[in-house]
Amino acid sequence: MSLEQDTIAAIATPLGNGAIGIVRMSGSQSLSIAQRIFRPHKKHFLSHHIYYGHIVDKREEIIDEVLLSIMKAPHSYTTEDMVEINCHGGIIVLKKVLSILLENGARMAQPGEFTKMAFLNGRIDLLQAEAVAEVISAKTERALMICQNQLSGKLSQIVRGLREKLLLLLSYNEVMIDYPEEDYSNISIESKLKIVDDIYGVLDKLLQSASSGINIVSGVTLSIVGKPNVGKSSLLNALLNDERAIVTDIPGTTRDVISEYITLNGVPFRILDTAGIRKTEGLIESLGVERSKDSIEKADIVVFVLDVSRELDEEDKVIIDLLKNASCRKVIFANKVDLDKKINKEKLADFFPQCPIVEGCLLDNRGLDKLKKEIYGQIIYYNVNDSEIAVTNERQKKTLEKAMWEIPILRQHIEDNIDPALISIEIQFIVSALDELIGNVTTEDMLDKMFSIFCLGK
Amino acid sequence: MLTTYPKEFDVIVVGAGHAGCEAALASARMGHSVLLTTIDADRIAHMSCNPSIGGRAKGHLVKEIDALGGEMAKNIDETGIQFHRLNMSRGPAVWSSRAQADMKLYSQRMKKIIENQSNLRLKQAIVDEILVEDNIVRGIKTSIDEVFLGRTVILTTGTFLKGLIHIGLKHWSGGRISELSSEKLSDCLRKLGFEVGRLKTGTCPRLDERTIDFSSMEPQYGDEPPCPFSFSTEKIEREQMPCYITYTNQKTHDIIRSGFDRSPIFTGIIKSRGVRYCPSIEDKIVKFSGKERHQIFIEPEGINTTEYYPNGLYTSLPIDVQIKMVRSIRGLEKAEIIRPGYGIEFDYADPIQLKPSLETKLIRGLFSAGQINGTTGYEEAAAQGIMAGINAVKYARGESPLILDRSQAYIGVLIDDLVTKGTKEAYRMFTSRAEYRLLLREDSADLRLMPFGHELGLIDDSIYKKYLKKKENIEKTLKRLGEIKLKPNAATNSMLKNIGTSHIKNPVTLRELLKRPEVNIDELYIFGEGLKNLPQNVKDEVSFQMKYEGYIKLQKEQVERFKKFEYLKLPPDIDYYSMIGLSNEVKEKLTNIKPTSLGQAGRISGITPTALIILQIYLKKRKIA
Repeated sequence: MSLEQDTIAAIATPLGNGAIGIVRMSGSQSLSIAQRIFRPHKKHFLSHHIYYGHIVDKREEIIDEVLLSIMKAPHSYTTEDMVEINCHGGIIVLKKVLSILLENGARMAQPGEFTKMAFLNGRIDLLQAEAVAEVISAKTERALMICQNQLSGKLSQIVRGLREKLLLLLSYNEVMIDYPEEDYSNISIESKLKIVDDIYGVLDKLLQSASSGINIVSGVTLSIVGKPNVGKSSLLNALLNDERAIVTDIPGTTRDVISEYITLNGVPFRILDTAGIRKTEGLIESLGVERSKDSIEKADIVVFVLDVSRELDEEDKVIIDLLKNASCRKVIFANKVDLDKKINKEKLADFFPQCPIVEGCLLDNRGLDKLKKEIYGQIIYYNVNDSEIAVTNERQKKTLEKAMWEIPILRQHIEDNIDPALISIEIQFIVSALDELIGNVTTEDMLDKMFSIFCLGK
Repeated sequence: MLTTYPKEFDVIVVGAGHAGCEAALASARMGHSVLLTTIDADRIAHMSCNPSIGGRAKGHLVKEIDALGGEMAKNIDETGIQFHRLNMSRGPAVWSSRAQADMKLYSQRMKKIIENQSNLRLKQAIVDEILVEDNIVRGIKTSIDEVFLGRTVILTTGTFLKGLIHIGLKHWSGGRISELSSEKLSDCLRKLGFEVGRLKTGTCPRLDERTIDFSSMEPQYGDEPPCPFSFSTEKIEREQMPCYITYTNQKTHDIIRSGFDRSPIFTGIIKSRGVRYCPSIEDKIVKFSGKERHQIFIEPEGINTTEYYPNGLYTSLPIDVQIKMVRSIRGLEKAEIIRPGYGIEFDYADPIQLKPSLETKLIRGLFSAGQINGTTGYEEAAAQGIMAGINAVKYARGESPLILDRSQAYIGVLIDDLVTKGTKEAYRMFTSRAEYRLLLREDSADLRLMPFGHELGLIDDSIYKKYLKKKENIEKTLKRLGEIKLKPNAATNSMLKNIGTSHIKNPVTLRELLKRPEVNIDELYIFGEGLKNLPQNVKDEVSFQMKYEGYIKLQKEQVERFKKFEYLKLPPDIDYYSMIGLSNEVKEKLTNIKPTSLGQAGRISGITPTALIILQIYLKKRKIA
């Protein structure tokens, strides 16, 4: 028996007490299993109907009062027969219902397996499957919007459009090889180059959207560094007061006990080591440098806080050195400009020639809006409109880059009118990169990897 | 009363066209007894249509046939009257050889080879029946009740199965315009359970040389010196003839349109599909109505005949329209038609019913090759013919078949396409059908395939030695080029300037230097010993390997990935209908075609990547179970 013949089941709602909880089942045996455990007994279920009744165990004892949703193949999430059981939300009830399904022949679903089935059965492509996970974990409305666009197939459509164009180019090229004597096959080099340039334009736009898209969807880690008593804690509180986001972390993604999130223009920022900032602020801190080093390594963007009312000391200079060599983006916040300035902006600019330097005072939140703008600007340097379509993860970005890198070579080949066999190889290489992007070619291993990032039951 | 021939043959080949001759010769040369039957013993390897061999992708097939030990390349080398390599201005991957043949000599020479081949009996006969017992082939029965027993039968029936000839609204039965057709054999195939369909093809009228005004046409000469097809031919000795180019015009197109009401295609008399890739002139002017003119090549049919072939004027229009059409063309104003053009419909069996060995899935020991499999072209036919001949012998010996894959040969691409995708319209070879073109060059056919030919006993030792010498020479030259390192000094740089390339700043090997597009291997001998007087084929191969190194590497990587899936074998007993997750269409296709590997399954149209993943998971589970 193959894996795909199994009927799979899982609890689809978060574990914990809620008003309702859902147990989900997909596969050819779904309906017959439902018949065996649902009372009153139904000879036939109608698709897309909801049935009121009870789930019973082997001894016909009632386990729960439920609503049963029936979705028959192919009009379901997985395109197989599906049953969703709306139970009461207690964890014991849900586990009991699930165990009855398993007793009756269903198999426990692996994480992401429902979506995997939707993909394997061709209802969604790889980009859409990825979007499912991203919709679930979206931390801001903006992230959700971008993921929904991807889920609805808009990104796939663009990629398929590019693929079509490439195949057209390929056919021009092939005709030239096989029928060079037919003049209707002689498409001018200029018009071929135009197709290549069009493709390049679209790929370029998509790739430009990538860093922003990835940041919006996956979020950005921000760290606040500076020696003790420069105002790190005040800055943290000021940011949190204004922009605190209510999100929970996905278990296992962070080693920090508590992370706080802020949202700037729909981009989620996770602030690293907030506990550390609070605890050490105001104390004589011996671990300050170590902590800064660690934070800088982990962060996508660092806000370096300085107290300009004091001269730069050794401690500042150590942090400056650390930051100079770091690959992360940086914003300098010159705090306490209300006091006598001992460090001027020019001097800081000498240290950080490319970085925005914001002067401010956290007592009256002077400069805070400017700081937020600069932080956002450092992360989102290509603006993605909410209606626009963006690349949202590293895999997508890397595959697109693979395609993109070949385009100038292809262009050169066409321009030089070289061996058409080589031109075909270039085109096919780009096509296969796009195929990889939308999942036209996949390996089982890659799929396992992909689908294992889903939460159970989706 | 039946007469049974006293001796049982190992291989019986039905039909002595381009497929049949290669099949019969291969089997006989492998030491097995062969019977070759033909409806007309004067028409062995007859060129029913254009008088030429090779062309794009077809030239590749011919050289591969030669490397395996077939006859086609040698035959055209001896009888060709104009040799020309196509696409020479493009890269070596798509270079293709083509030659005009003296069609009469071509046929006569092949007949002589067949007649003098030991182990081979030639008989004129119309085969009515294939004898089968327990789904195993036993022999054939002819129209005069003669029975020949055979352990294998290869059908190479061309256009002869219920052939129906059309000129205008007139039509009659025939295998070619003046020959009998085979009326009963395809019914026998149907009875055996084969799905038999119908295809259409056609040919051009033949014109009288004395009535053609060549002075108003553009002559086209062959290459000097002519470059032979066969790896064993040293030199083409025969005197060469030119072809001529002319064009149709608006008047021609109007005349053709005026005959549509009497065209068997447009009146619906011919219902079967035509050949998309060499369409009739009437199809062309309908499909490309915006095109003002079509090119016509005026090709000689031979040295001892005045017949000329106006290549491009395939037609089944009524004779009055044919005459007017021809005479509307520049240079043909007074042309006399010696033989009219005609269309022909015939029965074929979709090759999806074949294994990759060209044996039918239904009847053991029964093979088919050529137009019966829905292909068009002499070269496609011959390529299948030699493979069917080899594999019939392998079957008779109880050995596993020789199957060339898509990375080894155009022949592999051809047969894989046929048995994987089937044919609903005539199949023609194109270079674009091959994925690994850089590795499948015409010139490398010997390097790719001659070891197979030698092992089969089809390539004799003297030819094989020549091949080994070439191979060794290539390796030695590559090694030598890698050893010679140029130092960046004034003397070197002035020599580099002389050969038209830029100077060097760091030491460079000749191998590296040769990668520069402007550097020709002929000029490198000034830098080192042992590089002078290299044979042209060695120089070509070495240059290619150097100049295309990056891309060759890329293709080799692609081949590795391709092979991975070819090695994942799908057992024939899989019950696809029990697999959930496959659509009904996919289940049906997999069940019908029974792909032998996951790679082949992936090439079936309509088999989605997701279906392949499901098959992969199945294979994994099955292995564990």
